[in-house]
Amino acid sequence: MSSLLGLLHGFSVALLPENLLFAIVGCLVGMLVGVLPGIGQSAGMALLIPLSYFLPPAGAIIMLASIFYGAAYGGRITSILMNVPGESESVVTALDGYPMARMGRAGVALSTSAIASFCGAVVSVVILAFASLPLSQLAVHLGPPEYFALMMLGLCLVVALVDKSLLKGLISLALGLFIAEIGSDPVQGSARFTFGQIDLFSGVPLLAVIMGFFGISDVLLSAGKRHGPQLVARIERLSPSKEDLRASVGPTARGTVIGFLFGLIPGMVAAVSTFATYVTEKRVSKHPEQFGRGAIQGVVGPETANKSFEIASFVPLFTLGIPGSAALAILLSAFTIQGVTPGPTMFTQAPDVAWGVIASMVVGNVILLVLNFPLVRIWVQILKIPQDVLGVLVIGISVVGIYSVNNSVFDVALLGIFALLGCLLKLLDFPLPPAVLAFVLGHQIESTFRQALILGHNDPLVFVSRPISATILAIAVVAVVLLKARRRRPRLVPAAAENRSVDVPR
Amino acid sequence: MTSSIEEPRPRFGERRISAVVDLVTMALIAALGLWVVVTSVGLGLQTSLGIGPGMFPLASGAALLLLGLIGVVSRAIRLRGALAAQPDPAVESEPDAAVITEEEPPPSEAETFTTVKWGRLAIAAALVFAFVLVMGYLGFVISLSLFMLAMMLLVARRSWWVSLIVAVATAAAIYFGFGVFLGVVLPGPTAPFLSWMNP
Repeated sequence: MSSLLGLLHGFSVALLPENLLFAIVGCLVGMLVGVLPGIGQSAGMALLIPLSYFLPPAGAIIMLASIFYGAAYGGRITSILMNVPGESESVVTALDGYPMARMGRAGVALSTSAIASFCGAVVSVVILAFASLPLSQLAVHLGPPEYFALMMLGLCLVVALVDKSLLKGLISLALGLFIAEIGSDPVQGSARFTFGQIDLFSGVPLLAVIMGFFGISDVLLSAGKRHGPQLVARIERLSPSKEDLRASVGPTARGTVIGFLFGLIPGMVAAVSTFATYVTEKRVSKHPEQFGRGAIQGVVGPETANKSFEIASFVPLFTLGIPGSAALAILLSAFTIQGVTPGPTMFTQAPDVAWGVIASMVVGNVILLVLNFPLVRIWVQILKIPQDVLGVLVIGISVVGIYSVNNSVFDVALLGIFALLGCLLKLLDFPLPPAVLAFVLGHQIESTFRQALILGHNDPLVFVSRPISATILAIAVVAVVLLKARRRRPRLVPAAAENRSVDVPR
Repeated sequence: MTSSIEEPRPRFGERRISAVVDLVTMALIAALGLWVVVTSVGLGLQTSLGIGPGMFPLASGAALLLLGLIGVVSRAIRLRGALAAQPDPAVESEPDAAVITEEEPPPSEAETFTTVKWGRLAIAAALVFAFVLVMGYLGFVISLSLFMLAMMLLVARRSWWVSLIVAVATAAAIYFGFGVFLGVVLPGPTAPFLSWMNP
């Protein structure tokens, strides 16, 4: 099946009435979790995983994927109207979005960035559709050393990109790898660090770590704090002027390219792509002094980059089976539950799911664009629920979510343990993204490492004697050196973006 | 507009506390690393096929041990510096001195050892574990309602009636949403006096 035929087939799947319904549910939940600070894409997807058991594979994945990319639309709304970014990648949007809102241009900021995001998303989906198939055919020729090198690149980047101490970043990474090693060994199956608990033989559940480290620990840390967003800018006019649209064309194009390129790299953080776009826009602008005071380019560019980033991050998942972030790891587990293995063979073995999900991204973005405006006022109302009450609700819903995946009280206890560990690590100023990505990729890293050594007759030079893996490892080393050498220069990820919400690592 | 958010300079006492806490943390990480290394060796480092199940954990344990030791040394040096330094009178006299920027930056939500409400955090953590412990006895729905009620009263400090409404509404929503609609088997109570609740 060629890419074009595949995409057309995908639309025939995505436009089925039931799949449209799943996409709408996913988009609504996605926007909601994007609006609410403290609950991210991962928690939203985790909550709907029990529902996905009862759905056909394509419908289940379409629903979970639409939560994934719907969250970005939600995060934008609170950044612009309230100066409260719901997600880390929306921090940059607040820099100019909120000043625009204070100037009475909140509606214009919302509508223009929605239109730009939509354009960026559609272009990215088209690239995803036409690039995935050839890339997956190429990926068949990659062996364990190359997979290992790619995942190491992801880990190196996530350590290099967090703007905290390198020592703490590396400790966080080692800790994540250790947590991933709990359970059966991936090659021989012998038990490791299980303390005799049968429940731990299959490893620490993904959701316990992700929801514990981010969602619940955030709630526990802010226990007893009632502060919440107060100032909501009024929305007066929604339609952008011709001038606004003209000013948005360049940022949309640049945001699409930057976001897509960053999104291709496993381990990359979405906030980096939005910040890189912001900096680029400021550099190319004839009026850089307007940035930070309500420049529309400062809202449109990063928002478009964010959407392109999310869609591009499906490329490593679909072609290599490597999840680049915690949220995509949850999506990967949903694929597994449905009996579909993402990776080079997915396009031939499960074309309905593969092409259906890709086509549904276009459909989902249309839904998001349409739903965006009528729902803004509802999201603002939801945000008026006091933060502490919302926090208690988050814990209650998370507990049910984690329990319902395996019907296991033990998993709930693990959720509590990781929530406390997350609290401690955050209080001690350890960056959590390296730990989570290392945990997510830990199993795959170990099994590819060991398979590579078996392939190379136990010669560790197998990683550097093959040109592709050697090149990727060299890029990883150079990236760490270059990024860490920039430490004294303006930071890539704003401080407020780190450790916020659920979905920082990507 | 600056890309970084300037934060108030920590007070002298806080700097000392954070240096001590950092030192202890690094020592604990080194100890964890040592334990992982020792346990990994027992798991087997080599097999006839190649490296054994203990080799990868050995690497991560060794990394934790090494990084922890580096941390201990660097924090010890920092702590010595902090102990030797004199309090900065300018900062001490203005404890709330914060850098005020032209535009109000987005609120930083990061909690630190000194800003976090330890009492409430401890209560919330204790409630989470109490909830897990009683879940088998009282069943999922009752323990969740009690947990939510206690969280609302003790952590969120809301009035009785608001707490009760939130607790009962959430438990009902979860029971009907997950238990009835999605068919998730929520654990029933094992307590004899609640046996009537089991089908």
